[in-house]
Amino acid sequence: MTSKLPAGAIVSAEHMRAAEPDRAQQRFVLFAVSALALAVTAVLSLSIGATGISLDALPSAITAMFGDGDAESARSALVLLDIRLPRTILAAMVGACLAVAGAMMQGIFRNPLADPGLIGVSSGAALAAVTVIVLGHGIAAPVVAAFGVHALPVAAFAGGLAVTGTLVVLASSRRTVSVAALLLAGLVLGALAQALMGLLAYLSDDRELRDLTLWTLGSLAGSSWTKVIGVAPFAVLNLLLLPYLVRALNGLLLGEAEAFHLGIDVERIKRLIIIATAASVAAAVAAAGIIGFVGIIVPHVVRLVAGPDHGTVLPASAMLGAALVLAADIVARIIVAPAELPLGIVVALIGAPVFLHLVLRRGAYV
Amino acid sequence: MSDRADVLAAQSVSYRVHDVSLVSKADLGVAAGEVVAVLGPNGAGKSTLLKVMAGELSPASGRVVVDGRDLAILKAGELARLRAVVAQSSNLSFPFTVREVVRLGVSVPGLSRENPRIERAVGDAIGRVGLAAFSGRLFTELSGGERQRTHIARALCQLSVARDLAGGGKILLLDEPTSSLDVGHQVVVLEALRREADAGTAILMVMHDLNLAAAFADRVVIMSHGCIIADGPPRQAMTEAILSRAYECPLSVGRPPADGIPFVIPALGQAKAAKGARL
Repeated sequence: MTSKLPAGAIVSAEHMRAAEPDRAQQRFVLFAVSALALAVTAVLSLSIGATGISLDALPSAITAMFGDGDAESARSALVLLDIRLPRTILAAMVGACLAVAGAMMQGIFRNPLADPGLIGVSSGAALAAVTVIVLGHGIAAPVVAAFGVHALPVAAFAGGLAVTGTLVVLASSRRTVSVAALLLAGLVLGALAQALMGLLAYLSDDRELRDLTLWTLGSLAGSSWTKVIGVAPFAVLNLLLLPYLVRALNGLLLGEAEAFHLGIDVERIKRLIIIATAASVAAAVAAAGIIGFVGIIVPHVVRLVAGPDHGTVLPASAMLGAALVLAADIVARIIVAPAELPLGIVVALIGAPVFLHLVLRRGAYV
Repeated sequence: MSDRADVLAAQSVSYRVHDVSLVSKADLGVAAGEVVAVLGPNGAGKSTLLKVMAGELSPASGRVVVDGRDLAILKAGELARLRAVVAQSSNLSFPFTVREVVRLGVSVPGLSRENPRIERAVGDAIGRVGLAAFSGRLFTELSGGERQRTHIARALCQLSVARDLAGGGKILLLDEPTSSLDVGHQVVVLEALRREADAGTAILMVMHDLNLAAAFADRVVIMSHGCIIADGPPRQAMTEAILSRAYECPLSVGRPPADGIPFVIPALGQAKAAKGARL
């Protein structure tokens, strides 16, 4: 076979231009799809449940919330206000926090597979939660006495922060936090927490064992306005922080020395990101238990669609993470109704195939 | 040295790791518009000195003065508006395009993403290193030389934006900027750097290619075992005695009568003889 190209034809430049990603268009499509997904899942989450509120009835139920409407609308309004609305808001906040935390961890670890688990938040929160479940009448009795029904989320939040704080102290020397030391110390503390949880599971009776197993699978069944109010400050602060972190996280992808050359105060930014991640993830885990996968899959999908610029990755991850957890929670509520499936299972069942499909379709790059 | 207006100066800088001295009492100044090449064998302390002068490492003693101010008191952001750095190697495992990597060089915070002046500076920097046809390509799919030129473009972009918008952009530090380039692209990059110097930028770079340094640098600084053993124009500093001592290997220096720029070739037979003698 002979080439039809004339001698000296310049094909390479044309070829390269054809491969150029149009980032502005990709970003627009991604934001539009994420916002739409968030809106649709939020509306469905308000409408679907044990007492179905049809989409037609939703507007009148919402007006009834403010004191206007017939008896049926009033009942729907009550369901909406006391059950659906806090659950929907909590699901969105938890999803946004987990996805954004994943994106930030991948940025400071310069690794697309990093997740908040690396800084010990989830293992610390889980250990504290399991301690309250199993030893609520023993060593942990003062915590239960002090916080009553909120003892478990409060302990989980404190446990998550405590383990991350310990890790940062262990990984610091001469006022700098070593990311490599953080990773290694995180593995060790994670294994230690796992061992202690194993010990507690061994000590637990059947009811406690079931409770702790279900808690580690995650659920939004216990959503309440109290939990919304508990999580909201951390979620909102975390989201407000994002615009300030875009340039720093982009620079950190080049390496810590390069980020410093570009004018980024690397140590301060690393600490800020670790604190923000620990607080928001600890709050999310305290409210909903352990929900894995969101922090890895959502930012990954976002990067596949629109590239690694954090100006796109952070806000799109927040929206898509919220939409994913809302969608999973809807499935969890209806698939075995009137019972509920643990949310963590559903997230993994929805997320894994989608993730696999995208990775296989778009090639290996992150 | 006192009448020189150095925009970047190391003053008696020493750097140690666990009591091993990597740089000792180095004095080195670079004036605006000047290109200074740091030469020396592996492990002589060239990259360490560059990192200290970039602010990446803190000297054990001595100080670095940047644009008349002690580097130790400058914040990362202020420093980034005065100088840009191209490191020896920096990998990136996320699929940024060339244009996105170069845009990372925009170190003045708070500028809108689609600022036309920024976009022009980014495109201009990409063109200066000969990557115009590659601006939409993914960094992760580039060759080593293309990646190196992308990082140089990022530094040039950092300087030009800082100069236009913040009155800075005065110093450029590079660690072996031509190491993975073919000869044609070495010329492209060195000419771009020369134009940058002509615009008033002080350039300090670590080089391995002695002949390229002799032909290109205004001044060469030769290091050996952490000490600066010679500092001057290539014609004066690059002598057989100094180079052979620095590299611990017999070198021949020739000077074509046309321009007098020294060229260096290893005296291979003598090297063998010297090794034989040592055995």
